[in-house]
Amino acid sequence: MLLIRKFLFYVFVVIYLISWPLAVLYALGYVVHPAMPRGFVKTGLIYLSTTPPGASVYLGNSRYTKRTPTMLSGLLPGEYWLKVILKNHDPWIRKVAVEPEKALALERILLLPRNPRFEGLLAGRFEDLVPIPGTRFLLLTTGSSLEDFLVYDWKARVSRPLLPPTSDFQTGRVLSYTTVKESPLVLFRIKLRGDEKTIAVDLSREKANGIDLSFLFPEDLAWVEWDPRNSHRLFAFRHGEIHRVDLNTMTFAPRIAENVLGLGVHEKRLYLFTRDHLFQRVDSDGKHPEIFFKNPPAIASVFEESNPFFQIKILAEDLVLFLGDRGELLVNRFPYLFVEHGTRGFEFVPARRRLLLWRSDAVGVLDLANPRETDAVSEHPPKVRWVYTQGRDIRQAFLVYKGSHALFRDGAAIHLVELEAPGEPAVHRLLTVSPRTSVLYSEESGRMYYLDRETDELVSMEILPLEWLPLLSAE
Amino acid sequence: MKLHYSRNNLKGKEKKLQRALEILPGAISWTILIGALLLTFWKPVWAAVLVISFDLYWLLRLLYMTFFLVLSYLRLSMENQTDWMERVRGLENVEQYLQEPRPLSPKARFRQKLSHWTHLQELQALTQNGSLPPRWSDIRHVVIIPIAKESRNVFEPGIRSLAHQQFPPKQILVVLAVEDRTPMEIKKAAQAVQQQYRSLFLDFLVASHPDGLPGEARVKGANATCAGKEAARYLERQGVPFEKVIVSCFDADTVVSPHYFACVTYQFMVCPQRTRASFQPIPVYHNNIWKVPGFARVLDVGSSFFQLVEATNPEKLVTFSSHSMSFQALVEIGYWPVDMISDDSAIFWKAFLHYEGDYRVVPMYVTVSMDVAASDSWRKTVVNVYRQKRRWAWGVENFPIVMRGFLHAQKLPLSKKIKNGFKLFESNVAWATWPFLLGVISWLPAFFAGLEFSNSVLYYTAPRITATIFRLGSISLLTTIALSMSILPKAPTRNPLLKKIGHAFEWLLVPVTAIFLSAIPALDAQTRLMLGRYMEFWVTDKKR
Repeated sequence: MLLIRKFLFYVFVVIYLISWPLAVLYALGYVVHPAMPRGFVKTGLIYLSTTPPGASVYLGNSRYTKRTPTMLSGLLPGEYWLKVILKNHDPWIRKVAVEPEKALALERILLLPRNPRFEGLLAGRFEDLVPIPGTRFLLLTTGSSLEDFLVYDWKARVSRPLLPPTSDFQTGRVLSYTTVKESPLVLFRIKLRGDEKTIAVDLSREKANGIDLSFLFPEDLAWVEWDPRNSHRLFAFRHGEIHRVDLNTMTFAPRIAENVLGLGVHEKRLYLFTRDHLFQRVDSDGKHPEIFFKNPPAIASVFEESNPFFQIKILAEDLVLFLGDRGELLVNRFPYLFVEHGTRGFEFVPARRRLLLWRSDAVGVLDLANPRETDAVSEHPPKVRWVYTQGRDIRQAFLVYKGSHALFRDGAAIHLVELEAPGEPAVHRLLTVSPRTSVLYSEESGRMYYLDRETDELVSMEILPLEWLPLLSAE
Repeated sequence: MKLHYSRNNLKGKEKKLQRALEILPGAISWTILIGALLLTFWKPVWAAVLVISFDLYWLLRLLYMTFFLVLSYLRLSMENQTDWMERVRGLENVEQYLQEPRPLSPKARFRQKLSHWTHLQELQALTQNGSLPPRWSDIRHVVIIPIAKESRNVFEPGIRSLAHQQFPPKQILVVLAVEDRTPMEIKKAAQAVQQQYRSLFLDFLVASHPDGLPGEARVKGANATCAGKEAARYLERQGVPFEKVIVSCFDADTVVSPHYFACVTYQFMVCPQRTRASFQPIPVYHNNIWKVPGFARVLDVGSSFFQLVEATNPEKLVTFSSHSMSFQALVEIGYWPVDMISDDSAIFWKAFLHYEGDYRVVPMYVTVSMDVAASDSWRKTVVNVYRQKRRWAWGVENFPIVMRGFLHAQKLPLSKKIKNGFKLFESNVAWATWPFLLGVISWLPAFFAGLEFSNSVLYYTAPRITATIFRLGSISLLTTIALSMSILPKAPTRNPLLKKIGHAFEWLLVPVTAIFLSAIPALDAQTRLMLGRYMEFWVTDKKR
């Protein structure tokens, strides 16, 4: 037994001494290449994953037997034409560069079907679609009065009038409305029998009559904001002052904060930027102020020079965004001011720390990596990557497929742009919708909701194939 | 060599050296774990390369061990049919026996032929060595069974198994070593058992170990030592020479196979330097194996398998749990350490150092069965198992003392010092760290990858290589499952086959139990030793 033990011990030592360097070199991307001076060469790798999966992969003139998702390893450095083909879908072709020891990860290739799936949802000639992002609702209008508003629940696929026929506000003409992402509460400013009124309607409540807040909002306010998780407390901004309206007690608390330049509401707290350049958070009574972070001079200078109000959005625990009235976009990351003017809106994916923003003429992406990877002293600070600059009237944009794509509306045209593919971003024009109306995209259903150009009916278009969505949510 | 085999009553440099060596295993284990963890954050590329290197090493070592597990298992099943008593009788006259060995029946199976061939090899080695064995009828056995709080239904089956030996029980002296602090009903039970079984053995003593003797801790070794001295006095009175006595120290729940004493007598007789040897059976935990939760079953079957693998390497074999040894050696080395918990392994190291390396452990392919540490509820069983494994892992307390001994041992060859010292150290560190490295840290570089690492080839290839290594490692798991199903006794249920199939799936718990009921108890023990928070003996709950 001892002899066998010793013999096998040395056999295993030899196996280890041979297999260890081979395994490590393979892991690092080295492959044996007799033609090279040292007998081996550093290689690169491409990782491919498509939706739907199962696509064939061609690299240069070679076809790979494995189907997506797959990994092409041991690739000699250089440029290759990469082709991904799936039956009944547009081929996906890109020129990719393989670098030694580097992996090119193409993890979210969205293969567009040749015949997209459309579905008519609600018949009727609608004038406008009001998206309520982050909720299951959207509003459809056939006129300018509240009686012309329908609530559509895209999850349950049912619609109902916004207000019951008995409501006193049915005939009110809508002047403006305010929504907050992920909140089913909508504030309408209406004109009813010569008077302007403010009406609150909770879309999640069927047969909601609407609450008249006119005595709490004696005149139109510059800005109203609330926490979607605490929708009964509204915070209104006017002339540098913050007032609070409590819908449960129907009370108005005036001037809970003063000398305010910027306001944000996040997790039941107010985030204020004051004229003395303090960025602080307070409770919903405006009490117990805490300095949130010391404001860098760059942000202060923009506030000084520009207009009197900024929206504040807490994107992540360490990320704060400021959006000014003139479209100035700042983030508390060097170099702070990312867009000087014209920003119309933004979307953020916390998991990827990716910010999508748009102006009337362009769509851009700002990747805000972790501070340990990019910070104030970084040689490569984050900057906006404009992925589409041919716009005329871009009004809406949505992040699609976990932030790997952006869907945007330029006038009546809907485009999809890839944000992660190598080379110049590819822009696909998907369709034209009814002009001057909004659209809604939901990552949860993978569908875009819009009004058909010809019929003005509510229609949905599949952007992400529904059958692969459970796979997506598991990622 | 005279060595104070204890951590107590040391002075000056020796005390400092002891303390430094106590710190070493825990410090190295923590350094490995924390270092690997930090490396995954700071240098993920290095971490990934180290992970691949380690995983590959682990795979090869696993396959190597599996190969010897299979060999050892075959040897165990090969010797299952061996008539050890017949061989013992044959050794009365070795030369004649060698010339006219009883021929095997032509119908003998391959296993029996192989066993017979091994037997002849051992006899030839014995005659060449010239150290002829004593007459078997002159050999006496002393069986010491320490009892602290075990009840009669725990220790009586073991005594009954002694009475049913192939080897004549009339040559066996049984000593029940009862602690003074033991509850009165257990003391009475010991006396009742003594009365019931005394006539079957050479004699049956109940030795009472006083509490609080100077220099002693409340450990099993102190009780066994007290009983061993009592047995020595008895043997002296009877005029039995110690060199013809084999002593076995069994846990209270140990039930030996009917061949055990015939086998140990045979091994004693054919061992050329029989008074410089311990005899290690294969411990199995079959007494209550089907009454305990699956995780406990898997852990203890794993322990048995570990001993099976160790049995194939007699050069580095260390005594574990219930075993036997030369009584003369026991007396010469001064009995068991009286202030250490890990008396089973400590007795080997004490003898190894006393004889400056001229001491060995002879593996025996015969089983002794014990209880799995179980309790009334699942939760209590987890706690019991955890404490038992921590006590086993407390065997690390031998490391500083053995190392001190190696420094003083002039005649012990350096190669033996290095081999044994490294094995003792490495096995303890591996026990505490490997399950963490394999189950957790191996996968971390991919989870905590920064941007730079996640764009590297290594980020994608490392998890695949690790997964491939683990898939290859499943060969070992499947082999272990097959052997485990074969070695376990029939389950006392309506459908024993179904129970065994269920047991196969219990092995899937290994990654979890290896961390929580093996690595963490070992790390706990090493950390206590490192911090100087020494453990007290804790008697494992044995419930039936």
